[in-house]
Amino acid sequence: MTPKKMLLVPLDPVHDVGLKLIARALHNAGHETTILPPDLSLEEIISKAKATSPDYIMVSRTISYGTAEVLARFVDLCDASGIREHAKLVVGGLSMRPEMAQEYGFDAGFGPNTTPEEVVAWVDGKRIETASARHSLTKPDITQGYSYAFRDTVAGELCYDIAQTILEWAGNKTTAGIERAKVRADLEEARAQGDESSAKELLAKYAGLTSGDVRKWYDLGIPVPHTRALTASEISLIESLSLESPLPPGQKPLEGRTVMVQYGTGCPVMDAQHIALSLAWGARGVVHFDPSWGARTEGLLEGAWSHQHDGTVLTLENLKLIKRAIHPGALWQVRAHRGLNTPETVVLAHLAGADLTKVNIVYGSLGAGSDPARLTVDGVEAMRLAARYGMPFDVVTNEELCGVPARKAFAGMLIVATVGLMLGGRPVLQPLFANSPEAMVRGLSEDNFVDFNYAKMAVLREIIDAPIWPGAPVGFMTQTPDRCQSATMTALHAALALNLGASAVTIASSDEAYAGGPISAHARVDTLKSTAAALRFFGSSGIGATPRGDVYASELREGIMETLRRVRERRDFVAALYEGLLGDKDDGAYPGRAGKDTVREIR
Amino acid sequence: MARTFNGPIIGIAGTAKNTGKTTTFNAVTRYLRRIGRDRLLTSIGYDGEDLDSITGLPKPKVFVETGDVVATALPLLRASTAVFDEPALTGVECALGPVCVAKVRDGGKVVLAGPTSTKDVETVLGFVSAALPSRDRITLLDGAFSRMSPMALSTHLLIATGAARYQFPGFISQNMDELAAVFGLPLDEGEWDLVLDHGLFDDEGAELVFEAIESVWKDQAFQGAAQVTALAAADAARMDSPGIVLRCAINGVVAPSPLTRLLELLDKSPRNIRVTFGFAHPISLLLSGDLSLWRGTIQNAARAGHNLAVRATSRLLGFTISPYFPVYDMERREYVASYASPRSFLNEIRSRTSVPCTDIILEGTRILESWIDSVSVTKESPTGA
Repeated sequence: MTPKKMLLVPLDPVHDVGLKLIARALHNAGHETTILPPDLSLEEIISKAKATSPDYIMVSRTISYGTAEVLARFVDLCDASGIREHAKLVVGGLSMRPEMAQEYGFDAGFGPNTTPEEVVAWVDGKRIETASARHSLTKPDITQGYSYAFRDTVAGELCYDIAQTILEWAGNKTTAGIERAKVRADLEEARAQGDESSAKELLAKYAGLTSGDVRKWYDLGIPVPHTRALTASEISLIESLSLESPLPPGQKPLEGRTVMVQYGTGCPVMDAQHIALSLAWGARGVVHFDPSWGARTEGLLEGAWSHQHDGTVLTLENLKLIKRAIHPGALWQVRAHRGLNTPETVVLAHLAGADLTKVNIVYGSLGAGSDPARLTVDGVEAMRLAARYGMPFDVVTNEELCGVPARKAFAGMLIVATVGLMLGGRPVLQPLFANSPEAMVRGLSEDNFVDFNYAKMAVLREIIDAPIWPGAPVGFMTQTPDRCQSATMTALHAALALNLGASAVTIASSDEAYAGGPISAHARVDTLKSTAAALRFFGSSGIGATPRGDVYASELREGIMETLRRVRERRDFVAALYEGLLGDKDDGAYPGRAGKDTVREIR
Repeated sequence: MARTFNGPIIGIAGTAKNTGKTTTFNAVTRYLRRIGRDRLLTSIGYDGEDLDSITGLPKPKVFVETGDVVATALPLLRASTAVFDEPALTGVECALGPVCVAKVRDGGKVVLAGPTSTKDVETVLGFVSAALPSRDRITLLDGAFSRMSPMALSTHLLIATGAARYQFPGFISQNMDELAAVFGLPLDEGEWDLVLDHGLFDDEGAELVFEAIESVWKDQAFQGAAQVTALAAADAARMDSPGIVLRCAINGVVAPSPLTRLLELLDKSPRNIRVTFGFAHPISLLLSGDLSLWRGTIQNAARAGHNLAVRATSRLLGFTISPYFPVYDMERREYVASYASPRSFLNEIRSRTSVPCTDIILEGTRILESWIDSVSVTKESPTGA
């Protein structure tokens, strides 16, 4: 790098702060810099320039009335004085754009949010890797670097014992969900091979394993209520989306952080727009939300469907369409944590190219209506499939929202995660950062929302070396009816999670806190911008808990151990679920009934 | 050394933003197509965009047609709806990317953003001359804002002015006279006794030039080989000296007030020095100081026995007048398009000045085309040293 001579010129009467920052960066890069005082006449500046023969003249000027004429005249004076024979002219300031710089006659123009580093890079003839370069980034592996070793060997021993009993119990059992998953995999393979005859047979077999509205559709072609097929023009809208969305200024704090965003408007076209918008504004990945009725019906539909209410119908066609809107460098999670179709959902997720899934037997059983026995068998198969496909999955503790205390929910999470490990999978722990009923009742969040969440992270880290990904989303039940606080709360929770070392965090838009209406684009952007602002605010300064945080952590750890001991003593995980060891009626947890008595032994 | 670029260069400068440069540019382009002239189209700014960057009001578009040659930033070429032959990079960069040259195969809309400095304009024109030689190409150089300096490369100049500059026709006509006076300075391509490169735009500069002049005047070599310049008989009779005139070239920007100061210093000098000043180009006199002082300065210099000349010039073809001006509407909080009454605006201007002018929307392009017709067909080169 050849040192250059820079003349920095503030054309504003007083403002030269930007130039001082740039001067420092240029000086640190080895260039010679001279800053002129503000409020010189153009002729005085020309005289100085002729005397010093700079290689670059950098002008700073806020665009205001008369600015354009001043800048244009300055350029003319430089040109006519022969200065442009050897010096490049650069202009920067609020509202400056390259088109304006061109019109005024400058060689380059830098607008707001241009960093000093970008200016130095331009001077050195390098191109700064802007946000558009993130399109060449590889997806983050949030499980990388974790050994999954239990730091708390007692907890580990308990978890492995329990997990072993689960695998032994589930090993000789099957369900219609597992069978459908196998048929689906074979069916899609036959279709891919062009084997129409086999595909037809398999489709008939699949249909025979479905029930309810889904069966009606396969047998009679009657659409599931509140759904309609997407039109060709709607499909082409998704396909025409550009993936080349640069990161807008001010969103750089989100780079390098895995912030995931939920989608599931019901309409794949809207989803695609929301996804593209979210990724453009810094989200690193997206999470698919499907309708709750899908969890209570045996079987999944085929085709591209729009759904009138929350949740986008899970079909391979819908997923493939949505995949079109997801940049290759972004993460995509399709959830399989509840209901009667979890193994098949993992199959579809894999076929559509998803990166992650979600499996949690405990939450699905106690808080989402699935029969514990059914979901245990299906959940084990789902994790087996996820491991086969190399797809990490998170294990979420959403049952906390029902009222199940964290000590029980975390015990359940650790047990399920251990099952996943034993099947060769890569689980990710997903604690809630929420103002849960437990937190409210016990007053754990009376003073702040930091202590209890700190305690959760601390305890999990003490127990096991595994990735932690708070969700889903963070900030649940901390919102207030006037939505203007929602983005702030979400952002602060996200900043807390990431500053406490989380591998990823899931956020929702401020609309979703009150899921009573449409989720709007500006709410999404607002939440992402707020998150970026919070990360920028805290930087690496750390967010500390009060001494109560450690007290909560200690209590939580004792509670987890106690729960694990009780579950192991029971020696029947499914029975433990039914009997409330991992959350009971008093906690607000109720064993689900969807799929009850549908588990069969394999002969 | 004269630079040749295959043909005339018509610069279209403006006295302000929104004075109708691009409208004039488009009219000239259409005429050149009609008469079958080869043409290179470029801009020292940013022309043909949809909306004005400051007012947000619609701007005239630039439409190119088959056979046009365009020099613009490569990203803009790619974004154009026209179809081009393979573009060639000129080696010049502008704020929007590398400037390339391409011939239009199928017409469409394009935004022109070309070289912005005199040096870069020269490079691009030289590149085109070499890469796409033509015996009768006319280059159209569209201006930007009131920027003038690169227009010094033009062989001919059109200046767009109008209500966006001044809403009062009297000010417009006065401004036109002032500009015409400067562009009316004679061309002097002779040798110079003294060449100064630092311009003349403050009193300190005036004193430096005066000292330099005195220093040369005292030089015995100069005295011994005095150049006798013919002066008007009346002037010679008036002066003490037998009429020795020093020839002083001043490069760079020259402002009227410091020149007046210099003339005063020369007047007060006991040596009775008479000077022929050779400025780089009329445009170099327009960039600093009060333009309205030039007519008086030129007259005062002549009265004192000095000559003012330019070493290169562009022939001023005329002025195009536009009655359009944007106005900020405080109620609507946005700019709105507004117009002076076109006929009375033009008539009022014409009543106050004899400088050629036309409103091409009101009167059509007949007058403008007659100016273009006066541009030589071949062997035209930018006159200069």
